[in-house]
Amino acid sequence: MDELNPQANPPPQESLAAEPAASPAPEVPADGGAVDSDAENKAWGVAIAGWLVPGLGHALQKMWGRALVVFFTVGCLVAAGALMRGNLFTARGSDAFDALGYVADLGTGVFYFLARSLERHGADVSHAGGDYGTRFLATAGVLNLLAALHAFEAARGRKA
Amino acid sequence: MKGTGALQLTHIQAFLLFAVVISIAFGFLGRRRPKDRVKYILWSLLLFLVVGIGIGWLMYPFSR
Repeated sequence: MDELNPQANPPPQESLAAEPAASPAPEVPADGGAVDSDAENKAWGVAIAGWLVPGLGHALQKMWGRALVVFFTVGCLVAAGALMRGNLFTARGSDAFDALGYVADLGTGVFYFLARSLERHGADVSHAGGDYGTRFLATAGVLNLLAALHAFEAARGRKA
Repeated sequence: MKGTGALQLTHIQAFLLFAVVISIAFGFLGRRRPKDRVKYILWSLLLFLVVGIGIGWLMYPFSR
Protein backbone atom coordinates (compact mmCIF):
# COMPACT_ATOMS: atom_id res chain seq x y z
CA MET A 1 0.00 0.00 0.00
CA ASP A 2 2.92 2.27 0.66
CA GLU A 3 3.73 2.31 -3.03
CA LEU A 4 0.40 4.02 -3.67
CA ASN A 5 0.83 6.63 -0.96
CA PRO A 6 2.89 9.56 -2.21
CA GLN A 7 3.54 10.78 1.34
CA ALA A 8 5.10 7.48 2.38
CA ASN A 9 7.53 7.54 -0.52
CA PRO A 10 8.52 11.13 -1.24
CA PRO A 11 10.69 11.57 -4.31
CA PRO A 12 14.41 11.78 -3.55
CA GLN A 13 15.91 15.27 -3.44
CA GLU A 14 18.49 14.38 -6.05
CA SER A 15 15.81 13.90 -8.66
CA LEU A 16 14.42 17.36 -7.89
CA ALA A 17 17.86 18.92 -7.97
CA ALA A 18 18.62 17.28 -11.29
CA GLU A 19 15.46 18.65 -12.84
CA PRO A 20 16.33 20.83 -15.84
CA ALA A 21 15.81 24.55 -15.36
CA ALA A 22 13.72 24.88 -18.50
CA SER A 23 11.24 22.17 -17.48
CA PRO A 24 7.51 22.93 -17.53
CA ALA A 25 5.52 23.79 -14.41
CA PRO A 26 5.93 21.25 -11.57
CA GLU A 27 3.38 18.50 -11.33
CA VAL A 28 0.54 18.87 -8.85
CA PRO A 29 0.73 16.16 -6.17
CA ALA A 30 -2.01 13.53 -6.07
CA ASP A 31 -3.37 14.84 -2.75
CA GLY A 32 -3.81 18.38 -4.03
CA GLY A 33 -1.99 21.51 -3.03
CA ALA A 34 -2.27 21.06 0.76
CA VAL A 35 1.11 19.36 1.13
CA ASP A 36 2.77 21.90 -1.15
CA SER A 37 1.25 24.75 0.81
CA ASP A 38 2.47 23.33 4.12
CA ALA A 39 5.94 22.77 2.73
CA GLU A 40 5.97 26.28 1.32
CA ASN A 41 4.92 27.78 4.65
CA LYS A 42 7.55 25.72 6.45
CA ALA A 43 10.18 26.89 3.97
CA TRP A 44 9.26 30.52 4.59
CA GLY A 45 9.41 29.92 8.33
CA VAL A 46 12.86 28.39 7.94
CA ALA A 47 14.02 31.36 5.87
CA ILE A 48 12.76 33.92 8.38
CA ALA A 49 14.26 31.97 11.28
CA GLY A 50 17.56 31.78 9.41
CA TRP A 51 17.50 35.51 8.86
CA LEU A 52 16.63 36.40 12.47
CA VAL A 53 19.18 34.05 14.05
CA PRO A 54 22.07 33.17 11.74
CA GLY A 55 22.23 29.40 11.30
CA LEU A 56 18.82 28.67 12.78
CA GLY A 57 17.32 27.97 9.36
CA HIS A 58 19.80 25.15 8.84
CA ALA A 59 19.55 23.95 12.44
CA LEU A 60 15.79 23.49 12.05
CA GLN A 61 16.58 21.09 9.22
CA LYS A 62 19.24 19.29 11.27
CA MET A 63 22.06 20.59 9.10
CA TRP A 64 24.24 21.11 12.13
CA GLY A 65 27.56 21.74 10.41
CA ARG A 66 26.15 24.43 8.17
CA ALA A 67 24.22 25.95 11.06
CA LEU A 68 27.35 26.27 13.19
CA VAL A 69 29.43 27.64 10.35
CA VAL A 70 26.83 30.25 9.42
CA PHE A 71 26.42 31.27 13.05
CA PHE A 72 30.13 31.65 13.70
CA THR A 73 31.11 33.23 10.37
CA VAL A 74 28.36 35.85 10.53
CA GLY A 75 29.07 36.40 14.22
CA CYS A 76 32.81 36.72 13.57
CA LEU A 77 32.27 39.30 10.84
CA VAL A 78 29.81 41.29 12.95
CA ALA A 79 32.09 41.25 16.00
CA ALA A 80 35.13 42.23 13.95
CA GLY A 81 33.25 44.97 12.14
CA ALA A 82 31.83 46.44 15.31
CA LEU A 83 35.12 46.25 17.21
CA MET A 84 36.83 48.01 14.31
CA ARG A 85 34.20 50.74 14.72
CA GLY A 86 32.59 50.22 11.35
CA ASN A 87 29.56 52.27 10.38
CA LEU A 88 26.36 50.54 11.44
CA PHE A 89 23.62 52.16 9.39
CA THR A 90 20.27 53.12 10.86
CA ALA A 91 16.84 53.74 9.38
CA ARG A 92 17.50 57.48 9.53
CA GLY A 93 19.84 57.45 6.55
CA SER A 94 20.13 60.53 4.37
CA ASP A 95 20.57 58.92 0.96
CA ALA A 96 20.13 55.72 -1.02
CA PHE A 97 23.53 54.38 -0.04
CA ASP A 98 22.63 54.69 3.63
CA ALA A 99 19.38 52.85 2.93
CA LEU A 100 21.23 50.06 1.12
CA GLY A 101 23.74 49.85 3.96
CA TYR A 102 20.88 49.62 6.44
CA VAL A 103 19.31 46.75 4.49
CA ALA A 104 22.66 44.95 4.37
CA ASP A 105 23.25 45.48 8.09
CA LEU A 106 19.73 44.32 8.93
CA GLY A 107 20.56 41.09 7.12
CA THR A 108 22.47 39.97 10.20
CA GLY A 109 19.18 39.63 12.13
CA VAL A 110 19.62 39.79 15.89
CA PHE A 111 23.34 40.32 15.44
CA TYR A 112 22.50 43.86 14.32
CA PHE A 113 21.65 44.66 17.92
CA LEU A 114 24.76 42.84 19.13
CA ALA A 115 26.82 45.11 16.90
CA ARG A 116 25.08 48.17 18.28
CA SER A 117 25.88 47.08 21.81
CA LEU A 118 29.52 46.46 20.89
CA GLU A 119 29.90 49.90 19.33
CA ARG A 120 29.62 51.88 22.51
CA HIS A 121 31.54 54.86 21.15
CA GLY A 122 29.90 54.87 17.74
CA ALA A 123 31.48 54.49 14.34
CA ASP A 124 34.80 55.99 13.32
CA VAL A 125 35.47 55.76 9.61
CA SER A 126 38.18 58.42 9.66
CA HIS A 127 40.65 55.53 9.70
CA ALA A 128 40.93 52.60 7.32
CA GLY A 129 40.03 50.22 10.16
CA GLY A 130 36.60 51.76 10.54
CA ASP A 131 36.04 51.63 6.81
CA TYR A 132 36.96 47.96 6.75
CA GLY A 133 34.63 47.42 9.68
CA THR A 134 31.77 48.91 7.67
CA ARG A 135 32.45 46.38 4.90
CA PHE A 136 32.64 43.53 7.40
CA LEU A 137 29.24 44.43 8.83
CA ALA A 138 27.61 44.70 5.42
CA THR A 139 29.21 41.46 4.26
CA ALA A 140 27.94 39.67 7.37
CA GLY A 141 24.40 40.76 6.54
CA VAL A 142 24.58 39.73 2.91
CA LEU A 143 26.20 36.42 3.85
CA ASN A 144 23.40 35.70 6.32
CA LEU A 145 20.77 36.54 3.70
CA LEU A 146 22.53 34.12 1.34
CA ALA A 147 22.49 31.44 4.04
CA ALA A 148 18.79 32.06 4.72
CA LEU A 149 18.09 31.70 1.00
CA HIS A 150 20.07 28.45 0.98
CA ALA A 151 18.04 27.15 3.94
CA PHE A 152 14.84 28.20 2.17
CA GLU A 153 15.79 26.29 -0.97
CA ALA A 154 16.83 23.26 1.08
CA ALA A 155 13.47 23.28 2.88
CA ARG A 156 11.75 23.26 -0.49
CA GLY A 157 13.82 20.27 -1.54
CA ARG A 158 15.53 22.14 -4.34
CA LYS A 159 19.09 22.15 -3.01
CA ALA A 160 20.96 20.85 -0.01
CA MET B 1 46.81 50.69 9.42
CA LYS B 2 45.86 52.81 12.41
CA GLY B 3 42.45 52.59 13.92
CA THR B 4 40.58 53.71 16.98
CA GLY B 5 38.56 50.58 17.61
CA ALA B 6 39.22 47.83 20.14
CA LEU B 7 40.30 45.61 17.27
CA GLN B 8 43.13 47.08 15.23
CA LEU B 9 44.18 45.02 12.23
CA THR B 10 46.66 45.72 9.50
CA HIS B 11 45.46 45.74 5.91
CA ILE B 12 46.74 42.24 5.28
CA GLN B 13 45.24 40.91 8.52
CA ALA B 14 41.81 42.33 7.67
CA PHE B 15 42.14 40.95 4.15
CA LEU B 16 43.10 37.48 5.41
CA LEU B 17 40.34 37.43 8.03
CA PHE B 18 37.76 38.35 5.42
CA ALA B 19 39.03 35.80 2.89
CA VAL B 20 39.23 32.93 5.38
CA VAL B 21 35.81 33.52 6.93
CA ILE B 22 34.00 33.93 3.61
CA SER B 23 35.77 30.95 2.08
CA ILE B 24 34.71 28.70 4.95
CA ALA B 25 31.11 29.87 4.67
CA PHE B 26 31.08 29.35 0.90
CA GLY B 27 32.61 25.90 1.26
CA PHE B 28 30.04 24.70 3.75
CA LEU B 29 27.08 26.22 1.92
CA GLY B 30 28.20 25.22 -1.55
CA ARG B 31 29.36 21.65 -1.04
CA ARG B 32 28.04 18.69 0.92
CA ARG B 33 30.88 16.16 1.21
CA PRO B 34 33.77 17.04 3.56
CA LYS B 35 36.43 16.44 0.94
CA ASP B 36 34.64 18.67 -1.56
CA ARG B 37 34.24 21.31 1.10
CA VAL B 38 37.95 21.40 1.88
CA LYS B 39 38.82 21.64 -1.81
CA TYR B 40 36.29 24.41 -2.35
CA ILE B 41 37.48 26.35 0.70
CA LEU B 42 41.11 26.17 -0.40
CA TRP B 43 40.26 27.09 -3.97
CA SER B 44 38.08 30.00 -2.89
CA LEU B 45 40.75 31.23 -0.47
CA LEU B 46 43.41 31.06 -3.17
CA LEU B 47 41.24 33.05 -5.57
CA PHE B 48 40.51 35.67 -2.90
CA LEU B 49 44.22 36.09 -2.24
CA VAL B 50 45.29 36.14 -5.88
CA VAL B 51 42.54 38.51 -7.01
CA GLY B 52 42.88 40.79 -3.96
CA ILE B 53 46.63 41.12 -4.19
CA GLY B 54 46.41 41.38 -7.98
CA ILE B 55 43.96 44.26 -7.84
CA GLY B 56 46.15 45.90 -5.21
CA TRP B 57 49.15 45.79 -7.53
CA LEU B 58 47.05 47.00 -10.48
CA MET B 59 46.09 50.08 -8.46
CA TYR B 60 49.63 50.72 -7.31
CA PRO B 61 50.64 52.99 -10.26
CA PHE B 62 47.68 55.27 -9.51
CA SER B 63 48.33 55.54 -5.80
CA ARG B 64 50.78 58.41 -6.05
